[in-house]
Amino acid sequence: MNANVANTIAHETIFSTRNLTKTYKMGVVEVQALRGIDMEIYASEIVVLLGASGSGKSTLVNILGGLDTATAGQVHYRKVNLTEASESELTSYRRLSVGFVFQFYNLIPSLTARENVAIVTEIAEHPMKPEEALALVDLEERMDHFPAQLSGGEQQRVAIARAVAKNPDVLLCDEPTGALDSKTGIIVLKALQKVNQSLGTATVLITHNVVIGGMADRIISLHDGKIAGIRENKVKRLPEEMEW
Amino acid sequence: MRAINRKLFRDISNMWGMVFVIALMIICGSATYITFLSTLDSLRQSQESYYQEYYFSNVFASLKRAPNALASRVREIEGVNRIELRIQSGVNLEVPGFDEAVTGMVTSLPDEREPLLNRLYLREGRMPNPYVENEIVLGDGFAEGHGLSTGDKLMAVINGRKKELTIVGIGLSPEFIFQGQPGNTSGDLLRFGIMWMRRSPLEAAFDMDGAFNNVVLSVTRGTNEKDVIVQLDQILKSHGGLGAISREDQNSHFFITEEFKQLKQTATIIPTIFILVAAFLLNVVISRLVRTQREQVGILKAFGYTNYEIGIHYSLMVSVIVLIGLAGGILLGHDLGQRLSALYASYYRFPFLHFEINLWDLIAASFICMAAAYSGVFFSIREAVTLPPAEAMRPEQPKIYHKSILEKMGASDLLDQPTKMILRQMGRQRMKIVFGVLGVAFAIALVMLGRMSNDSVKYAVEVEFRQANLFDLGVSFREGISKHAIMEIQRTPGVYYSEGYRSVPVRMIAGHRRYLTALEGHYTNMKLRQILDTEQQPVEIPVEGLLMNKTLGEILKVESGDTITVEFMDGSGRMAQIPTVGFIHQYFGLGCYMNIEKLNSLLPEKSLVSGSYLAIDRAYEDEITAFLKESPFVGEIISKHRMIERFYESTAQTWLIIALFISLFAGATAFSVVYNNARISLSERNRELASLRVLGLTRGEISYILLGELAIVVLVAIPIGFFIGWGITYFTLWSMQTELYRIPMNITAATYALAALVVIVSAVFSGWLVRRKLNRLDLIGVLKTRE
Repeated sequence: MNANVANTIAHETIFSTRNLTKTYKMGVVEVQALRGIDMEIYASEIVVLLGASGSGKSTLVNILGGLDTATAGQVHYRKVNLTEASESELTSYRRLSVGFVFQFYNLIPSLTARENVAIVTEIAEHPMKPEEALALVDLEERMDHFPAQLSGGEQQRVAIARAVAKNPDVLLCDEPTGALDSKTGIIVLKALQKVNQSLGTATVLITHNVVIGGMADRIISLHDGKIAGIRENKVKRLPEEMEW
Repeated sequence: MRAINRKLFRDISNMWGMVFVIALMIICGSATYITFLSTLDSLRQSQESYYQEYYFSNVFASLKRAPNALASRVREIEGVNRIELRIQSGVNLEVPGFDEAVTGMVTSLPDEREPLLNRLYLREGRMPNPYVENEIVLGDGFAEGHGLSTGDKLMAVINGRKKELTIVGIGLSPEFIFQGQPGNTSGDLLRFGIMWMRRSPLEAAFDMDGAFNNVVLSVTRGTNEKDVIVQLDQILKSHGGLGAISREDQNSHFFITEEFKQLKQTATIIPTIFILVAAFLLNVVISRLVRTQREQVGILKAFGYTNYEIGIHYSLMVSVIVLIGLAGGILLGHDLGQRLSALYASYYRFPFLHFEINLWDLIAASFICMAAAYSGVFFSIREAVTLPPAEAMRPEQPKIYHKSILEKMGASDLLDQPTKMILRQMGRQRMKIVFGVLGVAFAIALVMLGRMSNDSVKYAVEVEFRQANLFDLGVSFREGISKHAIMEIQRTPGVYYSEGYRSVPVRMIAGHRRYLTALEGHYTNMKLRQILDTEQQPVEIPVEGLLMNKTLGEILKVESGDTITVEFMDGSGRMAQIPTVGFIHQYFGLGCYMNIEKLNSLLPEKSLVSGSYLAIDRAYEDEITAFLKESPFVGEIISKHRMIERFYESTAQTWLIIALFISLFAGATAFSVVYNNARISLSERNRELASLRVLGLTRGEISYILLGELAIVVLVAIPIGFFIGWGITYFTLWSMQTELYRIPMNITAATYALAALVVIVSAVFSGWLVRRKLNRLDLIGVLKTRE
C-alpha cells in the first residue's frame, strides 16, 4: 500500500456499530454480554479494547470478526452490513478482509511456520509471500520449524505473520500476550506495531492489561457490556518502553 | 451408584456414536457366530437323534436280484447287527398340473412289520395296509412341494406299467434327509419324489417274488465297515452286486456332511473377521479415550484411587460395550438362526428341527468377543494405570510432526497445505491408519466371500453345462437297451440328433487303491458332449485306453500310461486291464471315459446304450418329454436349459440373499471403521479445524482436510481388500473341496465392483455424518481454550 492511498483512507471508517447487543442463553439464565455498543474503528489505527474478564470485549471482537452474530443492533464493515450476512458471506469476509491473532496461537501443529502462513495466503486474493510475512515478524530463520519446535513467543509471531500475510484490512487480536511472560509479550507487541506501521493495517487489540493501552491510538474501555470511556493517546509509547 | 461408575455411563453416553459402531461389529460377529454354529449344532443334534431313533443303516448295497435266502450268508459277516432286504427302484411319476419330467424312487416296506432299519417317521396319515396294492407313503418334501396330502392320488409308471397310487401317509426317513436324484448336486423336491410301498405289491410289479435288489445293514460298534463291505461285495458279486457303500458315500448323508462342513467354515471365517474389526475399533477408541482423559486419571489418582480401581474402571467400560454388542448379537443370532434353520429344514427333511442357541456357543462367543476386546485395549488401559498422577495431570506434550515421505521425495512444492496436513497426520498415526485400512479391507473381503458361492459355482455350472454339455435333453434308461433305440428316438418329431452312451458302474483298482465310480463309453466322434482336458480344451475320446478324471488319478496315484484294473460292477463280474491315456478336468464327479465300442467289447452284452443325448427343437421340448416319459425304459430326463434356469432361480436366488446379507454386514463394517476414524480425527483436531474456519477456510476446505484422510484410507484399502478377499476365498474353497466337488476359484469383475461400491457407499455415508458435525464446529470456544 503506498503512502498516498494510506493518507486518503486515514480517517476512513472500517467498522461502525450502532446499539450492538448480544445476549447468550446459558441454560435458563440469560447473560447480557453487550448492552448497546456504539463505536467506530478507523483505517490504520491501533485500538486497544480494555476491560476486565466478562466485560464483553471478546464478544465484541468476535462479532466484528464474523465469528458470532449480534442479537440486536447493527455492525457495518465498510458498506457491508455484517448483521445481515450469510454464513458463506461471513466465511469469505474472514477469508479476505480480517486477520486473527488468538491468545493460544492456534497454529496447525502438522504444518511448519512457513506452511502455517501459506495455508492462508493460498486462499487469499492479494497475499504477500509467506517468507515476507515471516520476515516482518523477524522469523525468517525459523520458517521451516514445526510449532512444537518453536517457543510461545515465536509461535505467536507466526500467528501474527499468518494473520497479516493476506494483507487484511483489519487485524483482530484477542489477548495476544495473555499466554506469554512480559519479555516475550513485548516482542510480540513490537511485531504488531511494526505490522501496523509498515502496512497500515487497522489493529484491534483486546487486553485486560492497562499498560498495553500505551501503544494505542485510542483506548476503548468496556465495563459490563457497555462502553465506559474512549480515550485518545496524544503520545504513543513504544512497546519496549512498557513494563508490567 | 458410585461417582466413578456414573462417570463410566456418562462417558459411554457421550460417545454413543462410537460405542454404537463398535457394538455393531460385536453384534455382527457374535450374531453370525451364534447363527451359524447354533444352526450347525441344531442340525447335527437332529441328525444324530434321527439316525439313532430311526435306525439309519451303516452299509448300503444294490444288486440285480438275489433270493431272500441269501440273508443268512450276509448275517454271518462279522459285526453285522441288523439287516433289511428291500426292493428299491426308480419310477416315473405324473403329478396333475405339473408338466415336467418327474422321477422318483420307491422303497419297499416289510408287509407285516416295521422296517428294522431306516424307519419311517409319519408326518400325517398311516402306513400302507399290508398286501394292499396301491397305497403309498409319500416323502414329505415332495408332498409339500406339490401340495399333496393323504387321500390324494398320483400316477406312476412302475416297471413300465402305469398305476394309480393313493397317498395314505406323508413320511420321511433318515435315508432321505437330502432328497435329490442320485448324481444330482442340488436337491430337488419337485422333480424327484421318494415313496414307500408294502413289499408284496412291489414284488409283483418288479417280478421279485422272494427276492431283493437292495440290502441295508447296521453294524455293531467298533466294526470296520470297510471289512463288511468287502465281504458283502463278495457275497453279492454273483447276484449282480453294484458295489456296497458306507454311510459316507450315501447320497443323503454325503450332502449333509458337505453342508455341515461349509457351515462350519462360514461359522469360523465370517465372525472372525467381524470380531477382529471390533477389536481394532475398541483399541482405537479406548486408547484415544484414555489419552483425552489423562488429566482425569491424574486427578483420580491424586485423590487416592488405586491403579487397580482405575484399571477396573476402563475395563468395565470395555465390558459394557462388549455386553451391549453381545446382547444385540444374541437377539439377532437367535432370530437369524431360526430363519437359517427353517431354510435348512426346507432342503433337508428332518422330522423335527428345533433351533436353540447352544449355551457353549454363547459362552464361546462371549469369551471370544471379550478376549478380542481386552487384547485390543490392554496397552491403553495399562498406560492409563501406570501414569504417575503429576505427569497425567500435565497436558500432553505438543505433537511432533514430520514431513511426509512424499514431501521428502521432493513433491513438497506440488502439494498444497491441506494435503500436507493430511499426509503428515497420517504419518503420525500410523497404527490408526493401518487398523483403518485393515478394517475396510476386511469389509471388502467379506463382500467377496459373500459372493464366492455365486461366482465360483456359477462359473463351474457354466463350464460344465454350457461348455461341456451341448445337448438339450439327457435321457437315462432304466437298464441298458439296444443301441437301435437311439435311431427310434431320433425319429421323434422335433429331435435333430441323438447319440447314445453307455455308463457302467466300475471299481477302479490300482495296486491296493480302489475307487467306486462310473465308466462312460462314448463315440469317438460324439457331438453333444465335450470332454475337457486339464487346460479346459476339448479332447477326443481315444480309440484305445481311457481318460481319467484328474482328481481320481490323484486318489489312485495313477499316471498317464499306467494300466489300471477295472472291475465291472454291472453284475457280470468281469475284469479288464485298460491303459490310462490322459487326464481330464471336471468340477463335479470323478468320471472315466472311453470309446463305447471298446467298452462294449469288454462286456457280455455288446451293443447296449444306457442313455442318450438329444439335440432338439426346443419348441417341441414338452412334447418330446411327454413322449419319452411314456416309454418304460426311460428313467430320468434332464432338460439342460431348465436345469440351468432352475439353478439360477433357486440356488442362485439363495446365494443372492446370502450375498446381500453379508454385504450389509460388510457395509456396516466399513461404515463403523470409517465413522470411528473420522470421529476420532474430528475430536482430536476439533481445535485445529475450527481455527482454520476462523482464518477463512470454507466448510468444504476443512472437510477436505478431515475426510481426505478417510478417502485415502478407503482407496488404499480397496486393493488390499481385493487381495485379502482373494486369499480368504481361495482358502475357503480349498478347505471345502472334496473328492466329488472341486469348486473353481473365480471372482468376477462384478464382485470386485460390488465390494468396492459397498465400502465406498458406506464411507461416503459416514463422511456425510461427520461433515454434518463439522458444520457445527464451535468456532469461538476453541479460541479461548488451551490445547
